[in-house]
Amino acid sequence: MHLHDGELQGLLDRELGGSEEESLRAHVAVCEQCVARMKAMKSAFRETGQLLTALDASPPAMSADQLIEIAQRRHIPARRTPRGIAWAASVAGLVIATVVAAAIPGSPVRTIVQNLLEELGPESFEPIAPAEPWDAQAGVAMTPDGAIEIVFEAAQSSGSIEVQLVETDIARIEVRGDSIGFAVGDRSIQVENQNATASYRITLPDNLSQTVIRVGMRTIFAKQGSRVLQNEFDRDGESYRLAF
Amino acid sequence: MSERRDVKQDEPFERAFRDVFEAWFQSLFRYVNRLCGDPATAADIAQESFVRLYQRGELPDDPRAWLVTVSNNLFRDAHRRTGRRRELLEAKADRLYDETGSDPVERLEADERKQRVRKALATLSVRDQQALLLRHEGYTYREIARALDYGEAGVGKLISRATRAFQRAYEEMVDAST
Repeated sequence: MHLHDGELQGLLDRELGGSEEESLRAHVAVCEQCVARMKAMKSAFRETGQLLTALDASPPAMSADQLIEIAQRRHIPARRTPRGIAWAASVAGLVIATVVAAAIPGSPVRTIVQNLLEELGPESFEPIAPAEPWDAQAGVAMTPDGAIEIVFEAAQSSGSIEVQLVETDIARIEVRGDSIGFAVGDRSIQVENQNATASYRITLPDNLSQTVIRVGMRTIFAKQGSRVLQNEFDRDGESYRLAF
Repeated sequence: MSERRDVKQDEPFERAFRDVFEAWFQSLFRYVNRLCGDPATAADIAQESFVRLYQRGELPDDPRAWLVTVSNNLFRDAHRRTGRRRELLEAKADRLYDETGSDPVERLEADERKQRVRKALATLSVRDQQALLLRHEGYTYREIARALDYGEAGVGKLISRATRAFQRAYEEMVDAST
């Protein structure tokens, strides 16, 4: 019974150890076929290593200090906070309590609700839905004249994007209407919006050297200095709005 | 409001972080560059992995395996995002790389060898590529198993299979070009 390739490789890499290695080496010591295979594998591995160096490039000139500095000025994306969920739960609880109380014959709440409905009449009753708050957000601290690229992974079937160019040092995206993830780099924010229906409010420093917003591979907004090179938004002063 | 994260770490951690950086940054960059074929992307991924390690505030049990796991995830995301641009990036990266040589004939031969190596590597599954490249960076079977979420007992077989497949593909390309 000869050794299989994984065992021979393990012997070559000295990764087996213990009694397993002892017994396998004992077999190799008396088996010319396994010795020959092991030699061929060793040679192939060495040759592969030499070939792989053809792919190598010079490493970037980067120090630990530079990486520490990047980490220290990095903003983390704030995922959907529980505040919005708590707020919605409170409103839902209040509505349920009111409905239950109004359903009890003779209860003061029922009387108040009846009087209110009579005063308003059926035509004038227009429930006002509170606007959903902006909550999930991602931000990147920018230096003046820096560059930012915001990339939406996909086009959406609904939702909108608002962009405001203001005097700030933080490029920020706020989201409402859906749960969205972000991948934040030094000069980029990737919006993970596959199958999402959210709306986005983007606030950007107005003094960046380059601002690019893309949806998939399509550039929908590009600004270099004060020059707008590409714009698919409706513009109103320094505000831009685009429905998906 | 977006909050600035306080990532100032204590001195022992910073010292340990610097040691890990000195020991493994170049190796991680080389691994990712071989995997993705684009030095700029590899630099971004290696740097981002170390930034995340620093932000973690403490070293994991096996920093080397942790770093390569993060890099693999970043590579997967980058590959998914830029898949359609990849060939273009590779061609551009190759041209930049080629300009560093001196003798035109040597440059041409080096370029052909590089293309063959890359194509041969691309015939392997991503996991086989990762196992092969990690082993050539000196990662242990345990580190490879952790990084690839694979059984440690199967790593030797994975590497031998990947080596054989790579050699076969490379030889076919050499034969086809002569």
